Amino acid sequence: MSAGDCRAELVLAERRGKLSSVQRIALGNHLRVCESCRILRSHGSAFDEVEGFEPSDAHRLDSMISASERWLEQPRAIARRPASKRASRVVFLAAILFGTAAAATTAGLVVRSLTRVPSTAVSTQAVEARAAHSPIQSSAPNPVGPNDATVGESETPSKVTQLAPAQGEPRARARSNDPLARPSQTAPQLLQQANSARRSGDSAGAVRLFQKLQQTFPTSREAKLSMVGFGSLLLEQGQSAAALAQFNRYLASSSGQNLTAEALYGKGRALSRLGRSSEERATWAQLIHRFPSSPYVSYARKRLGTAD
Amino acid sequence: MANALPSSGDVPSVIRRTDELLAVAREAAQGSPPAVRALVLQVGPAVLATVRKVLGSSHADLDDVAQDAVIALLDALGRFRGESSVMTFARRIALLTALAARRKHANRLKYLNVVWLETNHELDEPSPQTILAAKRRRETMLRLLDELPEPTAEALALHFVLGMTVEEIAESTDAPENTVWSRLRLGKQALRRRLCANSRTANLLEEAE
Repeated sequence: MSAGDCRAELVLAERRGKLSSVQRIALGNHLRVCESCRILRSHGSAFDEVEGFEPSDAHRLDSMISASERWLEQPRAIARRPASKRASRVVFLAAILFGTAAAATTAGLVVRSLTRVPSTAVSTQAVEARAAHSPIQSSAPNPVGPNDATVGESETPSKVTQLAPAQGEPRARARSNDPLARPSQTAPQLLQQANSARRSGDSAGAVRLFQKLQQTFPTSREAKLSMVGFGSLLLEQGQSAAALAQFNRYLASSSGQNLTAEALYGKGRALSRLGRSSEERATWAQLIHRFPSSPYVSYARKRLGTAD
Repeated sequence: MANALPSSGDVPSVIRRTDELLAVAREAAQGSPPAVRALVLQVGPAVLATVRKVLGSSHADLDDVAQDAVIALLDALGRFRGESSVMTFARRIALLTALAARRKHANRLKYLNVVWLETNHELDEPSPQTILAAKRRRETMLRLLDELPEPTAEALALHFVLGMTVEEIAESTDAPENTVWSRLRLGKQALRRRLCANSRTANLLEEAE
């Protein structure tokens, strides 16, 4: 039989684990003559092997829920087209401003050339104006030395320098990568930033943000949700006891939470690493009992078979 | 948006009996936050598993693509007419999202399975040879999917990656069974040609039998 002319129900049933002993014999006989099914079996099962769940999957599920919440917040009827309209408006306005600025510059050059203003005076005014309005530029090293004879002129830069940190600090913070520097975050924002930091590999930043979220908004839904993601992160970092505390806090926070299966999964893994076998077994049994269709059940069963 | 989802009376009885997620999906399509959350919680692991099958376990964009798949699913709920189960629909959306992401970042993927080899699975670890053979098969398949026309690639991916039958693919893609069969035949023939051209993979295939 050539490739492609077989519907391969037996192979697919085998991949789903729904093959009876009689069907298994039939499949063996069929595979001897059907190249199409041999290819499907070998290449399809290669994908079945990529099934395992990982400790960070609770965090991923959390992120997917956050993404769906962001989706809910967006006015769906507007979609993307108005965004492009907004973008085109911005471009249009920018073009107008650019055109105006270019015209003003040209006019200024013409006027300047006509009135023959000394170039040094113009540049000094320009520098002073920039210094007065730009804390970043003014905070740059002052080219005028302390022993410069024009002490009177140095007052202006020094005043600007005094002002510079106060004005420049927020901007410098905004530019920095420190996720904690962002002012007045809400609980959803902190959770999102913590998850982003974790995704980008900034574990230390994620830990700080998770802690800040739980300290600042201890009773928020996000703080409760974060316990599972934070616990998974701690587990990845080898802090099994701290991770266990997070999972336990989540499980104790209230019953019927959305991530209870994930919290139990994390708790079981933390207990496994701490060598607390009897508690681990109880956790896996609880997970199987309460969430029999959970994707973590196969892992729990494996652990029950291997846990001491 | 919500109107496109079938009411209970429009849904085939088999699906109505078995698909507990349909009511949740219907409410989610109407923008109900609890329903959206419940739906994502239910289909999330399957979406993640599907994305992982295509991208590999350690892909840098795994999280982002999984989130994109969830958004794509929520956007697509309005077009869902109950042809398949909600779970199958979610897996299909995830598969298409992941395949698109893979095509977009194709040149980064060659590193994926190397990392996968080092990090995946604590229990019942297969031998390195088995892992290597499976990895090569996946790569052969995924590269072929990158190159095939989209309808053929989708049918082949649903069949090979998600293990769906011809009937399920026909239901899910709203295409006649004969069309699906024809697409699968074309796809399998292309795969066979690819395997024959790559003697190393063909040898691995023979060894696995």
